[in-house]
Amino acid sequence: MGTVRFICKSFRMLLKIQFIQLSNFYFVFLAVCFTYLGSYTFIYFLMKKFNTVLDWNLYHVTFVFAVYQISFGITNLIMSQFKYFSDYVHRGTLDILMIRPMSLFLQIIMRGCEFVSLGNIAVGVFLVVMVTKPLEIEWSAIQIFKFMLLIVNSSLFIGGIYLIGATMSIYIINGKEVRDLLVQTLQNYLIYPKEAYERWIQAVLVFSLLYFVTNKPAQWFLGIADSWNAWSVILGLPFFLGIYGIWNFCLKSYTGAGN
Amino acid sequence: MGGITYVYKMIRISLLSHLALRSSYYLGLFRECLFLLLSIQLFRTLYSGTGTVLSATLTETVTYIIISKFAQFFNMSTMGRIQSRIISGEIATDLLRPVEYDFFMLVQEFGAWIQRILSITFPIVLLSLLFVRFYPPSSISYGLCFVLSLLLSFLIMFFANYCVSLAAFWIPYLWSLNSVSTTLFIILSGAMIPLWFYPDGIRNVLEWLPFSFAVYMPINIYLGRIAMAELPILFLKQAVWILILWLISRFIWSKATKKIIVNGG
Repeated sequence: MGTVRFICKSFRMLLKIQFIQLSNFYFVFLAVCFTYLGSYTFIYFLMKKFNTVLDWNLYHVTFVFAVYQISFGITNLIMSQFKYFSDYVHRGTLDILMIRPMSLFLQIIMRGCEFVSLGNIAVGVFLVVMVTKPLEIEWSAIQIFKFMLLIVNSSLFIGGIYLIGATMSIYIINGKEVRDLLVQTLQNYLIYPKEAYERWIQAVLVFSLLYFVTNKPAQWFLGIADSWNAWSVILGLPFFLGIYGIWNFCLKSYTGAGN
Repeated sequence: MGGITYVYKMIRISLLSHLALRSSYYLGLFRECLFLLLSIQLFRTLYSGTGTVLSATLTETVTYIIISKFAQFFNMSTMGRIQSRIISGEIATDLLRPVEYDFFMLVQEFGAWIQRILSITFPIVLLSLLFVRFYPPSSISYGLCFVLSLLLSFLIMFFANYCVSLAAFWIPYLWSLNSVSTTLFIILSGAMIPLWFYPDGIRNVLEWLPFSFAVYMPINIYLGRIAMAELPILFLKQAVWILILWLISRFIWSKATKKIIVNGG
């Protein structure tokens, strides 16, 4: 009960803080939309020039990109504070949070929401709407359920990647670099079929589970046959829980960094 | 002479501070190599599957991607630096310096750019020499013209960035402006993919804007896709854009210094 009250109060406060400078929020929201539509421009131009990459066309690639944008937006909205986990370690904020009688995970989440990530979600939804007709997606109840499953799965994967960055920040380096590497690879390169890359790269991308974040589940949604596609959509939860467990375990050996 | 010593010191400081965070440096280098590798493989697949005749060969595209690493001017920190100095009040000290503010900023950015070339671009090009087939400059004279054009393109990008950065005197939060301008610069300059992949109509317009002179044109010189006789005109166009952007920046600066309100200090 106390936890629910904590979440509600924190969320109300975060909303209040966010909307104090409403015009700034709108500007940043538009900037986010523009930036990610800008990234999409390159994909659009390339696919218009080459027509296909293996047997995928512009709409397949756009759909995977859109799924990534929506999932990334949701994760960023909820777990944005894990992006700054290394700052928590360096400044000693983590030490203060750890001695409070409340879940550390929840405390970090409720310290901030990046509402401007609604921009990513807006871009993603816009692109999904654009490809609905060319890909002949019919939004029946089952398809909507499958799409939601797809988004939740991808969001959990990306959340897990945020936690990997946070875990690395406890020990070695600024985990931001690792997280950015994975996130940028996902956005710019893993929206194409894996066969576009050499075999050893394919193996690395599949075994590191990166292809299971958005690409394989999106193929499952679009009905592209592959023995792994159906499984990929339920891997997000165990991945997230596994990384969450490791993060918790690593926190036990955390000795404090602040003053 | 003092100016050259200052530039040298800025490059040295920038390089040393960058290399001080070794794990971060190695990870950054790994990331650049990985992205380059994935880009090249993606283009190989795209080229192998297309039946249409394109205006550039695969090797030219691969060369473009590798050589464009010399022209990565897009993460300039001018905006952040000006903003933080306005907020902290340090801008007041900067205004008292016996050098023009744009020159002061230019030297810092130049140092950061050279540091990036030495620590990131050269290792990438050396690695690419071992594993990837790409073209050397078409001739020694084209190579020298490429270097000259690259220096001019750095100035174009600096002044374009500087003009936008001066908005810090009016706007307190610049994240959105920075993000939009960086995205625009990258799209318009051909930094991510060559402009020859853009639709013809868009490319024809972009070839007149200053941004295409920042990345696309210098690499076209490197590749020998521009005739030697046309190069003086190209350099002239670059110089004209530098002059225009410099004049705009002087105009904004004159307005900004009259309006300045120093917080803190």
